[in-house]
Amino acid sequence: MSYKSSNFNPTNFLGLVFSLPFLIIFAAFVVYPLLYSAFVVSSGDYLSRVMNDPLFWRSLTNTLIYVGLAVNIKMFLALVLSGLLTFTQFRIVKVMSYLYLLPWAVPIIAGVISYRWMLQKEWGIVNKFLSDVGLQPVNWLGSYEGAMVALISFHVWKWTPLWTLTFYAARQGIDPSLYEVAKIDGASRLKEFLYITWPQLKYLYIFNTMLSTIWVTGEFDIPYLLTRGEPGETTHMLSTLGFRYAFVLLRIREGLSLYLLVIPVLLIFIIMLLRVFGGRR
Amino acid sequence: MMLRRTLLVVLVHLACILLIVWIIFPIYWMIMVSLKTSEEVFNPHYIVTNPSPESYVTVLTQGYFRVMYFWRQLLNSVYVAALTVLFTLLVSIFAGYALSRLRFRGKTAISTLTLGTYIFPYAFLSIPYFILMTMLNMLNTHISVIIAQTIFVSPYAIWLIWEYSRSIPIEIDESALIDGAGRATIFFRMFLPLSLPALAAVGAYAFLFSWNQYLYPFMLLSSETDLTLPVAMGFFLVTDEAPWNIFMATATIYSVPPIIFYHLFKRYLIAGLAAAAVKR
Repeated sequence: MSYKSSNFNPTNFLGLVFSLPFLIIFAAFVVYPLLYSAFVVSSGDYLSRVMNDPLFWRSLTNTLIYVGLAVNIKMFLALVLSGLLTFTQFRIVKVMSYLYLLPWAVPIIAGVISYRWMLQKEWGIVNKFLSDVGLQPVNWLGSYEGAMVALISFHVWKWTPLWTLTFYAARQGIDPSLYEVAKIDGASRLKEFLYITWPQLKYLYIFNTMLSTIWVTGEFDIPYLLTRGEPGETTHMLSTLGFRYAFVLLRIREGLSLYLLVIPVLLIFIIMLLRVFGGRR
Repeated sequence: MMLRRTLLVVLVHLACILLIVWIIFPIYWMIMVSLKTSEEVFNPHYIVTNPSPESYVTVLTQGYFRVMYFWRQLLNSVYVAALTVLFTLLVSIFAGYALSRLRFRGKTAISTLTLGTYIFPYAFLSIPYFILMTMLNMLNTHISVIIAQTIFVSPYAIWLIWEYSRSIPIEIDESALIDGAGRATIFFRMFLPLSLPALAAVGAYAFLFSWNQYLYPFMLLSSETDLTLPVAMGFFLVTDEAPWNIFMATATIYSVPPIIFYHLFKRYLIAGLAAAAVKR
């Protein structure tokens, strides 16, 4: 292994030096802790202890339900909303185009505080509205189903704007003359969508769905702040259960094991995502 | 045909109204409740008839034990966000420049690593990071939070700068090289000024990211005077006492900076996201 001096290229050297800050913090604060954790976890039967906890399987199920519903509802809504913002000229749509990004700008903690009080069983405004229109009040955060609905709806509320924006941007890149031609040919809105819009947005839609699936699998703030696993530890997600093991029950190695159990699965997803879409860049 | 058209108009308007109500309501309600007095809190009406600044006064004068360190904690949030922005810029400018302008061994690996880190849900790194900070004796320090946040913001930041600088013609670099300028001169005199819009986007993004963070500060900080405001606000949700007007006032105050920030940098943020979306 020897480099000939003629091989020395100043940009080669500079490129590495410039990337070094990122590489160093990455190695020191991500790679090293992970390796160390793997070492700690492999030194005992923590994994089997996690796997034998019924709460683990419950949290896994919850995470799958949460991710499956929240991500897909959100993405579909974002696609529809971006179309509404692109194609309609009504004044109300103009108003909306100004307002729809607000949930994205409001910090999660602020939104959750408001949401929790809105959904309060006795004094919450949502139940007041329900009884005003003659419906039964719902025990939102006090029942498993109610809490899951609260979680999913909050997630959709908070994150639809961001994805709407990506679809909106992509729609701006579609050649408008395609729609003009379609209009001359008398194509319906549905046909326009199926034959012009969807083929152009398909990859972005799949990419966004996969990316969001990975992110939401690890989402901590919304489940932790909104339900904290309540009622009765039924609404834990993998992320909040790991945190509970580590910092509430003070069994940090079990928390670590749970997270390390999830990481390889996620890495497979991430590599898939990079493989499939990396080539398209 | 006419009927169908009218029906469509009505439907679109109905859908829009429902959506707007749904989008706005939690924010509207936050402000409404914050304007109530402590007696009115348990009295749900859709509109507050006689708004009172009572809860804002309580928060700003730190007159309730849950907001005893309000100013201190707000300042902590600002401090952590500011340093996250600074560190992120430092890390990402150089890496972004290297990836967009230089050819070097390991470039592909670094770019894959960057994207991979961007995609990885960082909550799953929290316990390993916590253990490392324990070993380094860095618990209860703001710098531990700032480093973590810098790691998680940097990939997107690097990527934004990389994408943006593709729009700066490489010929500028080449002609400068021919004129005898060094790499450093090119970097500081040309690359940096030309990528200012990307840097603004990165800064805004890093600020909003930090302002929103809950998990890492919650896990790493414990002394009440060190907490960032979101962590302190998280404790509102575990008390049985419920001065919700005060909680809502705090939440409203905390939401103001990001909304303003978002408004100021909207152009850049959207440009960044748009580039991300279209390039995918």
